[in-house]
Amino acid sequence: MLVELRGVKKHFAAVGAQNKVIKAVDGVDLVIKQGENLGLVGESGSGKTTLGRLILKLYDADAGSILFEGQDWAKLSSRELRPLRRKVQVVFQDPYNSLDPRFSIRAVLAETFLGQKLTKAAQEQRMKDMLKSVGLDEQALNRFPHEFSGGERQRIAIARSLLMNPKLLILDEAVSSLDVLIAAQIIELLKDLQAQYQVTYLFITHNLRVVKKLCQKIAVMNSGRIIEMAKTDDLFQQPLHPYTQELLSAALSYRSPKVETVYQFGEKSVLIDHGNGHFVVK
Amino acid sequence: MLRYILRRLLTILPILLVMSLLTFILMQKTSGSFYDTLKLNPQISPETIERYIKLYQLDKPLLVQYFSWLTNLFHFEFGYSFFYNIPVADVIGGRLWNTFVLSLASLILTWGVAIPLGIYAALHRNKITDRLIQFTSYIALASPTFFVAMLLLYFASQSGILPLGGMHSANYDGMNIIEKFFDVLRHVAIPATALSISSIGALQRIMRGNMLEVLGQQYILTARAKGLPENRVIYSHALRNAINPLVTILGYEFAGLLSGAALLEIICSWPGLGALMLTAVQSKDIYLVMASFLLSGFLLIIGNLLADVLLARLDPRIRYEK
Repeated sequence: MLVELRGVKKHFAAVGAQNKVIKAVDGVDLVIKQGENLGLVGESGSGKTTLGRLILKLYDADAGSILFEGQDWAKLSSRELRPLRRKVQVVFQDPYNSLDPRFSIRAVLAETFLGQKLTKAAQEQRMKDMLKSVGLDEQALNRFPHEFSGGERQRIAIARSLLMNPKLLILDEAVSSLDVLIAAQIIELLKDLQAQYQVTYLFITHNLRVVKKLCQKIAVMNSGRIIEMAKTDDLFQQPLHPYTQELLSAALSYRSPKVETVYQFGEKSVLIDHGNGHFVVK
Repeated sequence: MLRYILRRLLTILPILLVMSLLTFILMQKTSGSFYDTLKLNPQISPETIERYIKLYQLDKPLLVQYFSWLTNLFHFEFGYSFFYNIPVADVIGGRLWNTFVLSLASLILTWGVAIPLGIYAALHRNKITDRLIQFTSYIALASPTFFVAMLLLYFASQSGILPLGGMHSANYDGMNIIEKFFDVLRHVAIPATALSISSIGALQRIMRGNMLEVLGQQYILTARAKGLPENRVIYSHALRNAINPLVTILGYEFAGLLSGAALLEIICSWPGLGALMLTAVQSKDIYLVMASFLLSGFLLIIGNLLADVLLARLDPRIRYEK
């Protein structure tokens, strides 16, 4: 078990409204197994990005627990946590502000070696190898982020993440701002890299089609809850929840979903097993 | 880069030329001249005044006057001050240094206080300390410089801990270099503080805003997720990006270094350039005005250029080639 979430909640104070909270994540149970890529699907506002950041420990959960390899990071001091953070890395959506504009690519990548005992030559070699694996020329090291296209920057962001040797790589809408062709290339690249670097992906997206190729399992999120979870093929063949069905037909016909998309859940609504690991909310 | 700087320097010439011509016309076309007040003085004979008017070519057409001033300029002759009766360069020279001292003190104070304050406020966003800083900043921003100066002077006169005006104590000439430094420091304290108060309020808010914007960027989240020490996240990633826009402001401040603050210099009886310029305009001491304006214009352009060059050095995205 790589990551296990139990009853995780995260509420934010609504801006400008007193005593009102936004229940970004409202009671999520989720398991990510080693080597089993999970696609987390939902539209904007469903809480999927917040969930990713909770796993990254960029936010602290208000309730519930998140276990990483059986260990609850919330119980660690920040000093104890810091070296562990390497194990979960992230690639964000916007390639234009996910790289520090003042850092050359060499500086961006070299920062991943901080706290590691590696000679300069070994670092240089690892950086060059990594750039090669993500399909970039080693000349890239001397250049700055603004000199690259969006797709190339995402490759750099992936290279940076993988240099940390993470167990889990969270891809938060990582291809959503790229055009279809480039996005497909990045997905292929991620597939290739997985075998080489033994990393598991958590792919957060609003687009079901994107995760189909990469993920073995898909969880659909709405209003801070997971409403359906199944193996990718099962979900695509037999979506049980009406929201999933709508999301799916929207994804296949390139249009936006048109059913009522915000659901209300009570304390009692739980995920019911429909067999073969296919869960749906009731 | 070098070509860019060279090109920018070349543009200074036409700008200054147009500026000086406009100033000259404006000074001459407004009613009255320096000698009008002297004409009312029964102790000065009309012949003397006539002689001076001839000497300074004030009876010639406007453009002729301007071009003779301009040709003298190329020999580094800035003309005579009517009021002081000595070369303009000598009048300005001493005052320039005084204004520079005041402005530099105020600049160091402003930036030295505002930048750390802005960073602190951003890192403690919406906490009570941040709110306190922001509240005080609003008050500081709303206080006119002359009012702050008067308040400070009032307190100084009541407590007697700081001198009330001027730049030196009476026994300044007998002091050694260290005593001289502290003497000037004591004198500059009140005007510099008065000049800085509202700038600190403004600059602090800009710094806080920049810092907050940068702290929300994804590369900051990534840096945190990498497990970098918080200090490195803030000082190596956030601060370096947040300080960029301020460099432009620094360029303008450099330009303002020598133009001074006339009103404040008068209130604190600081013997600076600002007060000099004001009285020069009022008494229509043309060549003194021309030289002062030329100097300010020159410094403004150089200051902007300096800011642009500095920004290019700091930010790899900015290149001026082509």
